[in-house]
Amino acid sequence: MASIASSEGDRTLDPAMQVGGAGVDVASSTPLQHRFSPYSWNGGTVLAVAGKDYCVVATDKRLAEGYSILSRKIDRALQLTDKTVIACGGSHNDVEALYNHLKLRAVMYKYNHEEDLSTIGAAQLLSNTLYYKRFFPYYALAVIAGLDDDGVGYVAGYDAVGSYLRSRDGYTANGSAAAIAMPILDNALGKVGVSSGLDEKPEYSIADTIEMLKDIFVTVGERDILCGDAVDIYAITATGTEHEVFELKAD
Amino acid sequence: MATVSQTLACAASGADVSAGRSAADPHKHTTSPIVTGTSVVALKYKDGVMMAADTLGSYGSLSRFTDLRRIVTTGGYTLVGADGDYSDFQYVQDILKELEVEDACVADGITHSPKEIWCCMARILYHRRSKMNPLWNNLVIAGFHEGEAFLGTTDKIGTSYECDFVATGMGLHMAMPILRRHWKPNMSESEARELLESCMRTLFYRDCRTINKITFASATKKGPSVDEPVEVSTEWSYQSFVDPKAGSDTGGSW
Repeated sequence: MASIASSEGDRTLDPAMQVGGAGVDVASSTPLQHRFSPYSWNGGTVLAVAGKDYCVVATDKRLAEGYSILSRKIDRALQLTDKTVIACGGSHNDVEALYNHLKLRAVMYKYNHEEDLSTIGAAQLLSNTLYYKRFFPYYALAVIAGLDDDGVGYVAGYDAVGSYLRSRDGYTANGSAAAIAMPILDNALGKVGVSSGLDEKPEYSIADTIEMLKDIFVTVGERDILCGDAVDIYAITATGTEHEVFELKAD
Repeated sequence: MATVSQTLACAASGADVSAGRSAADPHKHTTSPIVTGTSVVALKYKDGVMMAADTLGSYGSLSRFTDLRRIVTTGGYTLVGADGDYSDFQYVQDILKELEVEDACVADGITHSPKEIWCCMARILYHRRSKMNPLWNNLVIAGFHEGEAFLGTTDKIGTSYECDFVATGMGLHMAMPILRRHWKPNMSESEARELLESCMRTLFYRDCRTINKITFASATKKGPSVDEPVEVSTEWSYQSFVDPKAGSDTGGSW
């Protein structure tokens, strides 16, 4: 049985995965074919914390594929309006396509309504946009962060097909290292549920929140090989959004 | 012919897209590459961008064509290099030619910038992957426009990013470590050329799908240009090549 080699080594030759299950006789001399996948798992960890009058969202800048690092400086976050930021882990091609679409929708909303899309509106738009592709999903694990209509921090996490929930405790994690970061956030900030840690939780300032997120990314970068290089941090307040880049280990 | 909805339904159910088509269907999706090119390596340097690729067209493990040019110029500023399926790259060249013709018809002297071409290529490759009918290439797009060097890449599913240096395919595993160690900003032309030669030499030693006939290309303020293929120097008398310790616990490797 012949097989045709390619320039890349990442495709499987497992006969069970061969293309054309209906038309190809496995026992014949038909060449084995590689299964094409339209998705890639490029990593990407997103953390977000909301405060009384602010919101912070942080995401790493490493674009990975398998054991390879493709880039150390990509942008995973999209500043949609002055007070709304979206960030996604997942398949970076889909994330880019999703962002291109959302950017257009935000611009058209402004033309039509002469005001920015609200954070809550953007959250619903993102959900609908993801669900519209329910049967060929955008592989984008999203977090939306911003200020709601009352100026209070808003944080919500999504799955790839648009199911979303505003965090009751004002923090969430998504993407590659969400499972590592979430218990740390639970312990530091959780007020409800079984993993809420201490009974009394202090109100953190925006500066303290940023420091905490930096610490968590340093920790997570030691355990998740897809997380590292640098972190984009967006601090959202009523006066606007400030962006900084925090360096991580590039190993 | 599979309709779009059939294609999407198949994609969603995990079933293969070809299951919805008859054997007589003349429309064939690229499910695997046929004639392939291997790594493309490129880097930014003081005067612009430099790129290299060998001239081999592999047919499986057969060295089928030995003089394929996998780096082309397009517009007034840009180089496009490709690995993967050569016929798909020829289709990409047709699209680039169409863009050039459109630009020429407007006749205002303006052609697309390297970044615009990179963006366009990424969208085309993403569009084709979304139809489950990919163009089976990694593209490297390099150029020099308005005093700035540009280097970007996209794969067959539209994963795209800009970079200071890049290597595709096997080069990602074997040339990238060399580039990471030796690349620095503002290298001279000879330093850049030497580094690229070092990458191509290593790939020729270790990647089975290579030949020692390599096209170098550059994009500077003078515009993009692709040189005729040249050989890089090789050294086969290293002790580890001559006596590869076959049969020892290294398995003949070194």
